[in-house]
Amino acid sequence: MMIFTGKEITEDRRENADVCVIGSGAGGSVAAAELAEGGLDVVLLEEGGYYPSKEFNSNPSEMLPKLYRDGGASFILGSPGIAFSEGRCVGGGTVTNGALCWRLPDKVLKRWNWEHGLKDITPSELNPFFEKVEKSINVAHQKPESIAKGDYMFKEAAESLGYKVVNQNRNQKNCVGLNQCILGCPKDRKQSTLITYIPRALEKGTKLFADSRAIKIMKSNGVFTVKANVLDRETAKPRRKLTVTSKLVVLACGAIQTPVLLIGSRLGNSSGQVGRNFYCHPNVKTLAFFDKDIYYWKGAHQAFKIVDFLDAGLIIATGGVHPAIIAMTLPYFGRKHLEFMEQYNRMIGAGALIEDTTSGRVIRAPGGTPLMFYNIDKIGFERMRLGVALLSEIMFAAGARKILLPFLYLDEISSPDEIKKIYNPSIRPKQTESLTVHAMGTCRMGTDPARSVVNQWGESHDMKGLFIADASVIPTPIGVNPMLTIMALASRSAQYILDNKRTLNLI
Amino acid sequence: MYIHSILRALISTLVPRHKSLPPVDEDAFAYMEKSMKHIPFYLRFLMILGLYFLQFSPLFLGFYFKPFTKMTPQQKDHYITTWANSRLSPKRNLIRGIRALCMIGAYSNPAILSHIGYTIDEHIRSRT
Repeated sequence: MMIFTGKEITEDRRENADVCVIGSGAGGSVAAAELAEGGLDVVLLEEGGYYPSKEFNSNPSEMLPKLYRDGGASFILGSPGIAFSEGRCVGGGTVTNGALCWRLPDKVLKRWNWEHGLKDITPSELNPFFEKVEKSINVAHQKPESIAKGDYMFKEAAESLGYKVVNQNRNQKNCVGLNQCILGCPKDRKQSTLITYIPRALEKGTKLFADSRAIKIMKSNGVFTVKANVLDRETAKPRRKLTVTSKLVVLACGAIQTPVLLIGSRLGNSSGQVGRNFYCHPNVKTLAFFDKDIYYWKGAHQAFKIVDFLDAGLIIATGGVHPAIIAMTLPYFGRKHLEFMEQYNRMIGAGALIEDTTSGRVIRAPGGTPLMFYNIDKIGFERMRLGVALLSEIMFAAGARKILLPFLYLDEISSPDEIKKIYNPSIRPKQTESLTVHAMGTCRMGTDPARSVVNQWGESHDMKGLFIADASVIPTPIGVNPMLTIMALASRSAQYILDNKRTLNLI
Repeated sequence: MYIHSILRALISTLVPRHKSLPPVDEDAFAYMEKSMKHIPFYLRFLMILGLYFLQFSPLFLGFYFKPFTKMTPQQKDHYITTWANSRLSPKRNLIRGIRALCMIGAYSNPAILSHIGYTIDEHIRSRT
C-alpha cells in the first residue's frame, strides 16, 4: 500500500497522475476509490495524519488534536457564535462522526430543481448511487443489544407523547456499542472510509500522501499543478514541498477549506459565489438529569430519531459522549461544574439539529486561514426554541428531574410547567449556546454559471477538469446528516468522469 | 511568559476541584498549550487579547483595583462569573472557549474520570 506520511517525506517531491484528489473524507475517498477502480492513476492528498484504528483510544486530549481540525475547537463567528468541529485525518469526518446515514429527502431535490435548475438529479437517478454507497459502508440499523439504555428511555418517552420514532441508519458492522464513534472506533465496527473506500483506492494503486496540505492549484496547457506543503505533524508547520501534476483535479476539502483553496488559487469564482451560501445546521443541546443511574455511555447512541418534525426543520435525537465533551459544554466552572459532572452516570444528553433558514459566508483571511460567519435569523431561532422545548418535554416524560438548557439566562428548568419559559421574549439568539459538526454550501451546484460554482456533475463552470466532490456543492440546506449525500454525489461525479474519459482528455 | 501566568490563574479558577482528587490544573494547562498550536491564528490572537483584557480590566473597570492574577480565589471566582454571564458576547465567548479546552484536559485525567464513574476501559473489555 502506498501511504506516505509527512515524516517519511524527507525531501521535496513531485508526482504525476491522471487525477489529483485533494481531501480524503466522505467525498474524496469515494472519488479516489471509484476513479482508481475505473483504471485511472490517482494521487490522494490529505492534510491530516494517517492513524490506523489500532492507534485510536478513549483519551480525548490525545485523540482530538490528532483527528480534528483545530483540535476540535473551531468557531463560527456571529450571533450566536457557534462551536464547530470537523475531522482532519485520513478518512476525515467519516472517522469522527456519529455514523448517521440519511438519504437526501425528495423535497430537497425538488428545491434543487426549482431553485438551481438541477432537474436531472432526481430520486430515481440518485438512488443507485445511494445504494452503492450504503452497500460499501454497510448501512444498517443497530442491533438492539448494542443500544444504550438512554436511547430506549428517549424512545419510550417520545412514543408515550405520541411522536413517531424510527431506527436510525448507521454505517456500522456488528457494532457492540463502545460509544467511541467521535474519537475513532478502536474496533473497526464503524465503517468509516478509513477502512472501506481508502483501502479500495490503495488496492488499485492510489498513492496517498497524509500530512500534505494543498495550498495552490494552477492550470496551464491543459495540465493542473497542485502545490502542497508537507506538514510536521507536531507543529503543523511546513517541512517539505509536494507538487502534483495531473489532468484532472477533484477538490474534496470540505465546505470550509475548499472555498479557501479556490480563492487562494484565484480559480472558479467568476460567479462570486465561492464561500457564500454557507449552511451549518446549528444544533442546540440539553442535558437531562435523573434520579437513577443510566450509564448512557454504555452503548451506541443516536439509534433512534423522531421524524415528526422534519418538515418543521428539526431532527431530534440523543447523544451520549465522553465526559470531556459534556464537560466542555456545561455552562459552569470550578466546584459547581464538578457537582454536575458527578452526576454523569445519571444524565442524558440530547440535541436538535436545525435546518438552516439563512446562510453565512466563509472568507479567506491572510495566510489562508478560513473565517466563517453565520447569524441565526428569527425563524432559525424559533426552530431552536421549539427544539429545546421538545427535548425538554421528552426528557421530563422520561423521568428527568432537571434539564440544563442552552440559554444564558435560562440555564435550568425543573418541571414541564417551566417549558413555557423557553418562549420568554427576553431570550435572545446571541445568548444561546449552539454547536455544529455540519458545514455545507460555499461552492454550490447549479446550471446557471452566474449563480453557482459547479455544474450538476460537480465540474467548475469556469475551468474544465476541475471537479468538487464534497459538502460545498450542496446548494441548499438539506436538514439531515450530510455524509451519505456527499458520498452519493461524489460517486455520481466519479461515474461522470469515467464515462467521459475521452472528452476530459484522460485517454 | 506573562500570558502563561494569566492563563494558569484562569485555569486554576475554572478547573474542577475536590479534596479526594489530585489537582488537574497541569492537565488542563498542557491541553491548552497543545491546542494553542492548532487553533487558527485569529482565534489565538483574539484569545491572547482577551486574556490581557481579563487581566487588566479590574484595574480600570471593576472595584478590585488589582489585576486578575493578584486576586484572592474568591475574588477570581466572582470576577470570572461576571465574565461568563456577561451581556457582552466576546467576554462570554472567551470564558466559553478557554473553559472548553480546559475541561478536555481536566476530564482526560484518569483520577477525575474514575471519580465521576466513567470506566470506559472496563466497558470496552466487557463488550469485545
